[in-house]
Amino acid sequence: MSVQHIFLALLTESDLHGYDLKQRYDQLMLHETELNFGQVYSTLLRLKRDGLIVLNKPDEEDDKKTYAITERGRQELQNWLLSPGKGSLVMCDSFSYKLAAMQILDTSMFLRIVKEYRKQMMEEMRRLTQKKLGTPKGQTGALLLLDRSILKLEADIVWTGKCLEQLEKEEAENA
Amino acid sequence: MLELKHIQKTYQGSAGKTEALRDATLRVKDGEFMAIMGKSGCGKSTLLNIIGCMDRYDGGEYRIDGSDTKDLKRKEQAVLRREKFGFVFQSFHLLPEYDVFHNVALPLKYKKIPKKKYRDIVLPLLEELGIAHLEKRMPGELSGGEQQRTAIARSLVNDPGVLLADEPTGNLDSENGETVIELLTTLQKRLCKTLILVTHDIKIASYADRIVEIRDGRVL
Repeated sequence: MSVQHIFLALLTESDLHGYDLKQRYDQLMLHETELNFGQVYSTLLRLKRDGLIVLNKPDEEDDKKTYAITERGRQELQNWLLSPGKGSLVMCDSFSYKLAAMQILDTSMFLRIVKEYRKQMMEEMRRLTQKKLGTPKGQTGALLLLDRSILKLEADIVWTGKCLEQLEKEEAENA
Repeated sequence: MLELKHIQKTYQGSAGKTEALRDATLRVKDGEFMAIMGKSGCGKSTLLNIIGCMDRYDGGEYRIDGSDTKDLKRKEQAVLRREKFGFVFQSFHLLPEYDVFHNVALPLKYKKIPKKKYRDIVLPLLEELGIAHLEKRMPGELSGGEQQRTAIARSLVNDPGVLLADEPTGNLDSENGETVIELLTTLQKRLCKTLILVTHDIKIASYADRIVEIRDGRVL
């Protein structure tokens, strides 16, 4: 869903080819999630089918297809930007679903998983911090995007610390 | 290369024995930036003090560049500490009666460097840390961030191979803390120093090349 809206946002700047849309998308997402060309063209087909973009006629010098946003597309983009999303803002990420599943598991399994997550999250936070250090100060949007991811990871790492304390206490009591 | 194997340390207090370190094993390569992370009281400062030869250990093995440190005499330990390590502390540890320049130059006095050479050694460091304009200021006239920059310059003045930092941003607000950790990271890379930093804060630890956790006196 979000790929479509990033495409719509990019098309508000200028008409673009599918290849340019992929390049600009990857840049905006700091190459953390890169699109393949199959996803690019299926997204463009959906946007065109829904009347959110149109295909321009190829010009004489360049036979590549460029796409333009429609008025309906602009409206859809605005609605998406202003809407906070369906359901709870904090309980619908994939990690919350995994946590829900973990409640069924026994304490030692839960403990093992939390330890592994903590390790992975710390490594991910380290990686993103290095990426932030290498990002020029003028790239405000990229820095803010990285800051948000880092802060979210920080919160989860603090939470895993609390989890470990609680679970280890429970395990010791049950031993 | 610093190598610690199964290090143990117990303190005897009025309330009985406290096991500060139960089993600390780690290896730090030359030029590496390693963060040791843990809650207060977990043993991380004790570990840093042992690494910096400021404290003795009761059991295990600690080798610095291949040499065992177990039987070092106090004097040998002091020389090793002065030559090999630079220290940065949470509360800066600046002498209030000395200005910035003389605080930074202080380790040169203990190394018996002639006074006429002080400026050539100290000024480039003050410039590197962006505090050259503060050289005549007293510590009480500086912000927390400026005091910590002074302390970092002092830790580097003997050109040690290893920098040890104990909660270096602990007394700073988040903005100054970020400036100081970025500065330490940049200096560590540019001057090819080994940096071992202890912190309770994952934000600070995540600037390191590697993070190790310590809990209840054990390196995880």
